[in-house]
Amino acid sequence: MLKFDSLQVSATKKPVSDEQILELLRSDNTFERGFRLLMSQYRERLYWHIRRLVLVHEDADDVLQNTFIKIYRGILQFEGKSKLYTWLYRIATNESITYLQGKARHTSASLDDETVLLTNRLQADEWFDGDEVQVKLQQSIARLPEKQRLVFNLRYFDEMPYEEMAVLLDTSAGALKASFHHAVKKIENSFKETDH
Amino acid sequence: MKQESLQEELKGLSPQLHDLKQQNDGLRVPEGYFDALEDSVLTRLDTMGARRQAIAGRRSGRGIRAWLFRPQVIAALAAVFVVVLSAKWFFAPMPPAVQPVAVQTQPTEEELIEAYILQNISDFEVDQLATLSKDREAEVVAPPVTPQQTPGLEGLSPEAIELLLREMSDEELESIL
Repeated sequence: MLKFDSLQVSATKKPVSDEQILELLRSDNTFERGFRLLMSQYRERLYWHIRRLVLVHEDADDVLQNTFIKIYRGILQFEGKSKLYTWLYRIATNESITYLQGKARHTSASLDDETVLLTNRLQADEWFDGDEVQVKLQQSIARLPEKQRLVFNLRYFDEMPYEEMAVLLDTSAGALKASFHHAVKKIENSFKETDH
Repeated sequence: MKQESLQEELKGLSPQLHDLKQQNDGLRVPEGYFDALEDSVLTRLDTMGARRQAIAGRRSGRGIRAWLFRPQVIAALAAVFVVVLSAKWFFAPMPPAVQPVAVQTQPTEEELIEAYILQNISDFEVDQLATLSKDREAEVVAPPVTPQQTPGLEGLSPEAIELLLREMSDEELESIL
């Protein structure tokens, strides 16, 4: 499983710092090289973050490409007030939420119906081969309110520290920890209901 | 806040989710997906024209130059050039059609005479044929001259006439006399 802390550039590639990438992006001559480096550095982290929110690979691919297009257009507006990956995560999160909301509006289904539809699509996805327990886990996560779901994913799958999450979601670390604990309890209850 | 690892946090919170995290979640990606992603994104940016805008937005002068030399722009300009050229050719007034040279089908007088002679060659004497032939040769070799082209002998001095007569062949003299 992909861990947030271990998501640095793989051992085969020379690690490049955010400062180096930003430096390349500042010049016309090196802009494209800088952008390619940025994509290469963050594509997997952003993909998995998006994939766990939208679940289906095809959707995740679409959202990820849109995310990189937004990043490309707006990278020169990045002022460096936060870490680069925080800024990138925020764009990816917004794109995923917009995508899911658009889909919900299109189907005008209730939360339960939406969850069923989402998990049905996941099971039909050729790039998912999880067992019944994994389907149940994704179903339980999909039932969480949007913000709670985001917090759960960032903590459970990406293992993001609360402090970084606080910058990303513009809220306090304490509130996020409470939100994560609530989410865990809800998922656990959902498992228990199925067992009975 | 003290940094607490997820493992520790989950162990205390939900052993079931802690155990589940150690398992494969079943989400996979197609082989080579990440390697192809960069090109897919840049291709999409090209299609949308967003790649150009981002560059042009930073320094307008260089941006426009870069934009002008993009293959898509060159191709578009070439297409416009071809269309304009085709339109000019299409709407240009047509030059007058060249009339084909009429093939002369009617036999000339000479041909008629020649044909008549050949048909009735046995009716002619050899002398007559020789004269006819000579006349025809003379027509071909020396076409009749107009008084404007050759000055009359009247204007020449006796010495010049004598010189001219000396240079003339016997046949030419015969034809004059």
